[in-house]
Amino acid sequence: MGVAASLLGIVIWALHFGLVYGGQALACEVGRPSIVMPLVIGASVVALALLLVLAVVARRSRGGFLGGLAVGIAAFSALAVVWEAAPVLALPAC
Amino acid sequence: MTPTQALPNPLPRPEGELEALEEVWKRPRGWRFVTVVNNNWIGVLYLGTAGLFCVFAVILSLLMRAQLTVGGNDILEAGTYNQVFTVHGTAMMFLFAVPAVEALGVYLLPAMLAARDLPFPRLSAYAFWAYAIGGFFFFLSLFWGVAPDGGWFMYPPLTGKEYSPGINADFWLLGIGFIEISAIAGAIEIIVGVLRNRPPGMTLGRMPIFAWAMLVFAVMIVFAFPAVILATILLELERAFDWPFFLSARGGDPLLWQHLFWFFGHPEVYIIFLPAAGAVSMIVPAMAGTRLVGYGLVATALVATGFLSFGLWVHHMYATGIPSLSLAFFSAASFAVAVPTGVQVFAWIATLASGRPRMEVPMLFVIGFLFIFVLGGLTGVMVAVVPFDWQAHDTYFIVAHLHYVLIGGMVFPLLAGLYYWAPLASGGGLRYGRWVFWLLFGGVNLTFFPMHVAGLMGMPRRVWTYPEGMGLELWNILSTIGAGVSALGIVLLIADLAKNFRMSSGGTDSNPHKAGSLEWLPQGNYNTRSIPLITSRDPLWDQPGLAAQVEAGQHFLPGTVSGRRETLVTSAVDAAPQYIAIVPGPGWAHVIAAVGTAGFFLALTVQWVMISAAFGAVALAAVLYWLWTGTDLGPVRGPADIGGGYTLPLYVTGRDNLGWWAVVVLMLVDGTVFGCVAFTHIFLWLSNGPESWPPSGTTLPGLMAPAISAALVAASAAVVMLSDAVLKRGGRWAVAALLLVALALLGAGMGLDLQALWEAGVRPTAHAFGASLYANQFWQLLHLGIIAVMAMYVVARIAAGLVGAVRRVSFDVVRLFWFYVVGQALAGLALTHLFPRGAGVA
Ligand code: HEM
Ligand SMILES: [Cu+2]
Repeated sequence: MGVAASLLGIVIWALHFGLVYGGQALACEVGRPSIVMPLVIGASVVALALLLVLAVVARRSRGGFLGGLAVGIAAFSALAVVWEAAPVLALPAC
Repeated sequence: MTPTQALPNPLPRPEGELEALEEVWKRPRGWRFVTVVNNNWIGVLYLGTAGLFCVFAVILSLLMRAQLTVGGNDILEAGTYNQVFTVHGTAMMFLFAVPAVEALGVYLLPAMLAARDLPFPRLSAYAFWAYAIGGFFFFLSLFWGVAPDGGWFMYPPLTGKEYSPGINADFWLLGIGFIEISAIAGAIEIIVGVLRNRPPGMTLGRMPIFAWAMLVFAVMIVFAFPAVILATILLELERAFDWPFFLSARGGDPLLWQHLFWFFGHPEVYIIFLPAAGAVSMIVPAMAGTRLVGYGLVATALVATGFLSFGLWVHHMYATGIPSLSLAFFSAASFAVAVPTGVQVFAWIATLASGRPRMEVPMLFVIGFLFIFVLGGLTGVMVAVVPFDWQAHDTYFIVAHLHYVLIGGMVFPLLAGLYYWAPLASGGGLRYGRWVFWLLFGGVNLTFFPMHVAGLMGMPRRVWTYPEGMGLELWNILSTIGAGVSALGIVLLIADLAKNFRMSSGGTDSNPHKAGSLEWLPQGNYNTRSIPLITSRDPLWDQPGLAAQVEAGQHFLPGTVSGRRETLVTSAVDAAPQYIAIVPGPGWAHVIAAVGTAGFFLALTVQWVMISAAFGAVALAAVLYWLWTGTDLGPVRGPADIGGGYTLPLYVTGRDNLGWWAVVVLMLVDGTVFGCVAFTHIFLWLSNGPESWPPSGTTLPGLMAPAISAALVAASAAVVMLSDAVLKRGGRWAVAALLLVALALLGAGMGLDLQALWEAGVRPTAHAFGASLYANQFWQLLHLGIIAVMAMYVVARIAAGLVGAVRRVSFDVVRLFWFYVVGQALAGLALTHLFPRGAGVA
């Protein structure tokens, strides 16, 4: 449980990162800057929600050290998700 | 554990038990020493070789500093200077930093985990020899004037055929090949070793932090090195066969190189740093005499640094004209990764504050590390800010930053580790540490601090000279003096090692630092006499009498049960005993394989194709011989008693087998390379624009041919499954026949696709579109070749009666890899035939 939850936290971060970075590059390439903001914010909300659920489940399962590891990884991932998404609020999409 | 509780094995131990153990682990004497595989010896050789290459690279840096002392100097010509800084940077990164930390892991991990050896000792010995031989030739290229000269990150178009027509660039591209192979081999070794060779009771949560750091290190190699492996293959294909991956005139894009290189290159920095941080997390508690504060947080921070560092690579590309929002994503990610590193720094400071630190030499180096590394981290946060980086890019400010991070983050911890663990490797300790420390600490700061100023004043990096009268004189003279002082420190370090370090089979009877981790148990070549039952994170502090019990043989597996070298295999999470693995002893095959591998790449560089092929054949033959004679020995005896009520088998098949785990790691490596192939395709599509992908005039074959290919390839997997079922029922020749049928199906499927592509008129040289499709073909056909060798090997083993319903690890491993190759082939077909069709519509 703990190991799987830890890995899942990493996967959520990676998918968010890939989606945000790749999606923005793609949207700009095909000339649709307007979808960047909703994409980034939407992806971030979903990622944060998933990380929260993951952390709660990992905590509940009383996984000892590994449960703590999963919660910690979810927290670092959430921090990175918020940080990485924030620039979209301040800068032009393309 | 209290002494009243029963220990796994009773006293007295049978007569001759210890002698038998010593006999099987004896190291080869005299000139046969080159056949040694035991990690206690290979680890030290590895570390020593890395140190030697570091000294070579430092000599090159002294040449550069001599040249730059005053403007208009002429010690080195411009062209030579280019070779010197390229070899300095490349050697420091690939021949010193990564191998050195890997060597530290090879040396320390078995002792820290109370394993007898690493799970695949010949693999790490092979990796060492390939690296040592190849590295020497890499340096020698300087004497012929053919050393690479495009900088350590080798950007095309400068390194393309047009602007680098000589073989200098090829020396880099192929010379790095053996480093890539040995890094991956080491990663497999370390991942499997850390997860499966821990002592009973050492759950993941009780693992020493150094083992966590090495685990993250190895996993990062698995995901980072594939990008540079593919990048070097692509650039070499472009240079040798004119496939235009990076030539914009034919649809290529030089930025593709930068993405692939830095997707490797940034994690590389943490690949170097994390093991060093792990070493610091072992040294600090011992020196402070107290437990590490925040063990769980530090382990989490290591994992977090590991994965977050994969999201930063574009911060090396701020000046390439990428849109500002994209840059901002990476800028923010660069700040985020500083957080887990900060967590570790605070944990060390808190540990020091909560104990009574002894100011011994290792502690001095740790403090030097904190000081230098934190300064480098601060300039790192500065250059993570996009507008600042635009000013500082390609100036000496960057040279200052990168040396503060690398020397602070890696060299100082390594030296702390050297002084800390030297008593383990040599019996006695080193003596001149304080002098070495102060010379290096002063020298390094004096060398690199002025470079910040020179850089801000506008001095570009990678220039062989500079004009007088711009105010750069003072800073350059200071730097050169500093380099001289550092060099004195290094000379003194070498003297210390020459005088006071003697290689030994390892182990001290005392615990000189009063540390809590297992490497300070009494040791021999076989590491600990018996394998301890672990009940805490700091066993030597919490389990009184452990050292004496272990040495007396009261814990698990106090001797050899098969008369061969063995190590205990435990489960990955809880470290519950599972089986006893037989590990190989000394041999020639891996040494010959290493010579063959290094020769293969070197001969290829100078375009001696036939000689290269001969070396390759020798390497392959040696590897096959080594597998044939040294692996999959079958059940050499029935289950054996290791004490504590455990009776374990000596042979297991399926998912618990160590070889199975190694193949899974290898599949992750290959899968990542394939992911980079797909990235190449998609990136070039984006860079060309959907309307010219495929470029006008190019048409893909119809979907009929790929559909048949897919069916054939899938059928080959089905036939392998069938052969598995037949093997279970005791079939023999039928299994061999089915494997050959499956091989034919796979070959037909892949061949058909290649033929269809060619007949449709797609050519690799015409446009980057074709080049990227043929890069995919190249990767797929390489795997066809590997599967062909594997299938023949298993068929030969069946013929020799070495594969059957029970003894089937060789078969299982090949079957697993076969399924991977089939999956990759199907994904490759989709990339070639479906992606351009879908993307053209979008
Ligand atoms: C006494 C120690 C050292 C000195 C005096 C030194 C000096 C230098 C100098 C002067 C350059 C800049 C060349 C130029 O841009 O023209 C350089 C580049 C570099 N150094 Fe060092 N260095 C030392 C140690 C190290 C170490 C320990 C590492 C890594 C572990 C390292 C990695 C690099 C790299 C990656 C480059 C960039 C090469 C390039 O531009 O392609 N150096 N070094
Ligand atoms: Cu970086």
